[in-house]
Amino acid sequence: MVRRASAQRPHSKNANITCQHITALILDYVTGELNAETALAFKAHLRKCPDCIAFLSTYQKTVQAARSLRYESIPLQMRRRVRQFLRERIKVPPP
Amino acid sequence: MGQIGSTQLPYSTARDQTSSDEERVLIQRVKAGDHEAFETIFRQHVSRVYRQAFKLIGNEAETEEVVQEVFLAVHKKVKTFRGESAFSTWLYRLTTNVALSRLRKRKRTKEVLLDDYLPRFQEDGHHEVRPVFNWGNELHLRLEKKELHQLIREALEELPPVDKAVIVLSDLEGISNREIGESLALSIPAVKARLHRARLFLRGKLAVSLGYSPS
Repeated sequence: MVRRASAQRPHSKNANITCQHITALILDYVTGELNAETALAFKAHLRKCPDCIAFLSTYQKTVQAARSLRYESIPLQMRRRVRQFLRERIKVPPP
Repeated sequence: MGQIGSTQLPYSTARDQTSSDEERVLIQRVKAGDHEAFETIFRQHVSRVYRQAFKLIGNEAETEEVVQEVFLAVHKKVKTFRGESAFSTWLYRLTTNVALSRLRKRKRTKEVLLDDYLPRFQEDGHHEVRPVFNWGNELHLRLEKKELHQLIREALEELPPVDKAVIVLSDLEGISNREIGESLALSIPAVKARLHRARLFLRGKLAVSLGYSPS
């Protein structure tokens, strides 16, 4: 049976932390929000688990790629159309 | 190992701080029905409203309608703005809600099963597919920047509206989880859960596009 990533976390001290736990904790890890004990367990797991190192790396690359998206400014013609629309709708007198 | 870090960008910049008095006066004038003041507000904020709306909506035609709707709402609702937050915060929350409302009404053309792109695990908690391949460095080697950005935009379009809003506001707009929660009426844990799921989905889509398992 296959299990999906859930927010399940280990209850006892660092015990039996699995790849599934690591995956659930990645968001807090990358923003430095894990408590000290969990962060230590996280790093200890990474030291012995190349799969989780690879997973974490691809997660970080994904976030970087999303953050690299660039968007254009509002096109001049659209800006003019919206301003005209607003003037008509709210009865703004032309300058 | 390098961390992404929480490079949250504040809503208001230093310039906003210094001009907050001017802004307060401007808002008072808009509340009093001063059209010139409204035009000033429009000029100052239309570009950011457009960019934020475009990130959420994904096409120009609908984004134009959202921008119109946002500024009409500003004109109509500005009297309810009590100055408890920066005007820019109020405005970008308004933009989020107008855009999100439109996304919710939109018929989703293809139903994508998010789970198909999320990681899977064996009973013992190990990754289902091992070894996990580190394809991170292949992204820029195998995909043109334009192609990569197109893949991400398409993946964003496939997310449920609230998940999309969360990841856009967080990773594209740099808004804090607390602010996102307040904008979308979600608890911070709920914001983080949706953000994590959306990132895992994007990760899965990128993995598949490179020929690897999302797991």
